[in-house]
Amino acid sequence: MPADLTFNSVVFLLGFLPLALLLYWLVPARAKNAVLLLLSLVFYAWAGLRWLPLVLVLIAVHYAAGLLLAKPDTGKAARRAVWLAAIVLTVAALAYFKYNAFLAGLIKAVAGGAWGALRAGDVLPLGISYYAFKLISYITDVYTGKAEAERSPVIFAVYVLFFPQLIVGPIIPYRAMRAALHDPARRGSPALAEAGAEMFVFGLAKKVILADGAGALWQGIIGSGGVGLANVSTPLAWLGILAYSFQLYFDFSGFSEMSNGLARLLGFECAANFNYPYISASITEFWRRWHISLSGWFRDYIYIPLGGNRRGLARQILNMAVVWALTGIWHGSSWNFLCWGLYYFVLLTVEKMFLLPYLKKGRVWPHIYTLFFVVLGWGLFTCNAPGAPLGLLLGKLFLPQGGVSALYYLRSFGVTLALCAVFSTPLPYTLWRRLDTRKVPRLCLFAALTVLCFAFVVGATSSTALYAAF
Amino acid sequence: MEEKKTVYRRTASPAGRPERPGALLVLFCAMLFGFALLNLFWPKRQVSELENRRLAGAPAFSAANLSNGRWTAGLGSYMQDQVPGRDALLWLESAARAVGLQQAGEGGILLGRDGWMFTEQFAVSDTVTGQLERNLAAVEQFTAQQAVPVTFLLAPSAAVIYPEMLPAGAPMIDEGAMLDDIFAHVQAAGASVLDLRGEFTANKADYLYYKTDHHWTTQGAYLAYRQFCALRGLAPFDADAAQRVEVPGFYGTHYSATRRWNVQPDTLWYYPLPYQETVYEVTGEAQFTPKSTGPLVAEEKLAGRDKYGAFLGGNNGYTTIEGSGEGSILVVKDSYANCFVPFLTENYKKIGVVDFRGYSYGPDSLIRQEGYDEVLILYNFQTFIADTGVVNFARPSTLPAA
Repeated sequence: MPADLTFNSVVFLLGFLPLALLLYWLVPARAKNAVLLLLSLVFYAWAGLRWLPLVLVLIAVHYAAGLLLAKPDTGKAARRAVWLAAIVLTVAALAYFKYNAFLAGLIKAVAGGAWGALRAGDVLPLGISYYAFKLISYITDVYTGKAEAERSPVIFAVYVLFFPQLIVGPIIPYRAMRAALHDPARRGSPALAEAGAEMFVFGLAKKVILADGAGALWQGIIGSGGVGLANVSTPLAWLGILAYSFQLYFDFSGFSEMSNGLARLLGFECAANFNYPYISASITEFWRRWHISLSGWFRDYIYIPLGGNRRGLARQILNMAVVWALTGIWHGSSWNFLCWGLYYFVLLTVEKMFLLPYLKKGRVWPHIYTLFFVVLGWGLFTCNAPGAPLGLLLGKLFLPQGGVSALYYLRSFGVTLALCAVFSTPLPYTLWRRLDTRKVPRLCLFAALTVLCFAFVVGATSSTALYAAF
Repeated sequence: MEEKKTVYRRTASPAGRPERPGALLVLFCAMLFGFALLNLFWPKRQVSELENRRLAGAPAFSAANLSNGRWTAGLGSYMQDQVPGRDALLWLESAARAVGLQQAGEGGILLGRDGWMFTEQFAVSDTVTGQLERNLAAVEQFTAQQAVPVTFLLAPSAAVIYPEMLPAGAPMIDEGAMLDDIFAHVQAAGASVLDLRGEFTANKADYLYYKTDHHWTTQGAYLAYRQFCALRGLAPFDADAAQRVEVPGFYGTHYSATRRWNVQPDTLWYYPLPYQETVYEVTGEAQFTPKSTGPLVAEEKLAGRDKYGAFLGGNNGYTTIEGSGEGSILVVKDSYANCFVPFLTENYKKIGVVDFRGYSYGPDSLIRQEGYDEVLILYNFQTFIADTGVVNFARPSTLPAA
């Protein structure tokens, strides 16, 4: 079975990464972008050449479209046509490869007719959800004048294919990377690289120790050979969905930190994708802290262009519905993701209409309220996975019943879940920063954590990021 | 267009703090490049004794393998398997999970007290339930149609005999109830059943199961053999008077699955007996030709990792042993019988052994052709409920009726 080059694999850590850094650091500044492009192409083609033509065509189209938009003699109507054409092509590619089964089902349901499924295959082109959004942000920023068009095809390809962000984002807009992309000589510093090394190892630890550890509990329930959701007691069902919530957060934020750490090692400073979402005191706050690059993208390229909150309350609510339906199906082409998105639309609308002032006054209950709905949301989120149908899960959660007890799972996973809870807060990071002035303990701790993470990588059959599938 | 300045929050970002960089970056690079360099020169192995499996070798390079991703995937497995210090890193991982994270299980194996390990069995899946129904029906049908006496011996799992050694609160299935049910069905079909739970529990201090493997020990098998003799009215082989050979340092299948850091290796033993077994090449239903003849314990396997495989030389489709007793018996079995069967040489002249993994035909024609006087069905609970070969008991003969 071909496999993607994930950050938490031995071949990446002992093969690709050292070679890439060595090559990238040693070549002269003018060759750095070319080397970065080469590395990204190797990274992308790792699991086979199958999806490379698609992304190269899209890069070429957006590059050419950017140049056309930048030409002073392009008229207003022509600019609009170029921009729309690029967007439509990208969205069509995304729809065709990601959503055709879903759309065919939808059309079938609506029209009732026989609609031959135009399946392109069951495999999603690697990274399409991320690079398509990068491309749309680029061409829209050029169209609206927020960013200059990129004239170098190499630099533009480096932006789109930038290997740290290729599989699981974050979706960094071109305008945020432009300055560094154009200045390879002054790009980066030892301080930035050091921060990157630290961030990479912390991200790796989140993934291989916390996410995979918590995930083992949930998989032990719904996975093949597991106890089966139908057999669990209500407390175990709650423990399971809690563990899944931790798995999702540490998996995705771990990969995001590894990505940003690698970017810093290469001299790019990219914004954090997560900001302790589980400490939020409202759903509104949660979405400012969870997958920040995606919510930012939807705000900048869907919500605000639709009018945002400037056209009255009714229009604002409609805009929100559109944004959240799209956010839902961005995660996957099935009904549960759409429902999950609309679930947040309802919660956010309720908060916007009247709940927020009360939430602001509360101290403890807003956190409990937020966590409750977020964890429940993850139940909805995962209910297309085999073994976790929504009806069964809701029954287990809300109709108290006996079954396999939670006792053993608390005993076996209690420490992991407690660590997950602690690392969901800023406390460990604050403590780590206190070590800044104490060199020896800091270095010892860092070395120990690195070796430990590596042992977990070697011991595990390396699993890809959950968010690579979205 | 609405302007929003605070598009991306910069909170968790540690970059740009006022501090002299250097030491940590140097450490990171030393570890990264040092280990990558070490990896190039580290000796490569073909097998991991510790994990009891073959390790991936270097992938074959070709243009086709490169373009379809097979070469890179092979490179991934190769580097993962051949990583420098793999055994030490696996030990560290296991220790960190067990001591640091207090995890009580790994890879489907429960890490019990005192070095004990058990197969995790928290639920009976629908697949297994269906398989058990078919297996039980096949045994019932076979038993009911047999003219010769049938004895049914189902060894309980170690967890049933040593429940106090399980991790606290482990929600194991109610194996006792399932055993009761199975025994009741087989008895009703006309077999004599050997339920060892009482005898085993009374003698549990005697090291009846391996701590690191899913089999019973020679002592467990011997105790079962004595029960069998009592049932059949035979005089058992006197183990106390016999010389026994002990083989220490047995790391069984549970260990290979968990690589438990604080493992307590088992000691395996056997009684050297002067009898020979003949292993056959099975060519069809009740058709076979002799393949090899040798002792009941393949001593060369005792030196390797898979020491239990020395008994009867492993699992073979059809084997016969000439003993010093009277009459003949056919044992239809899983690997639990391999250290049990040698004891029967004291009581029978001819012992036939069938393992459905290498003989997938109904046993009726074999029993008739070879004139076996009785049948012993010997399985352990876990194989019996899930093994897809057990249905062969009821497989109709394709041979013309004699």
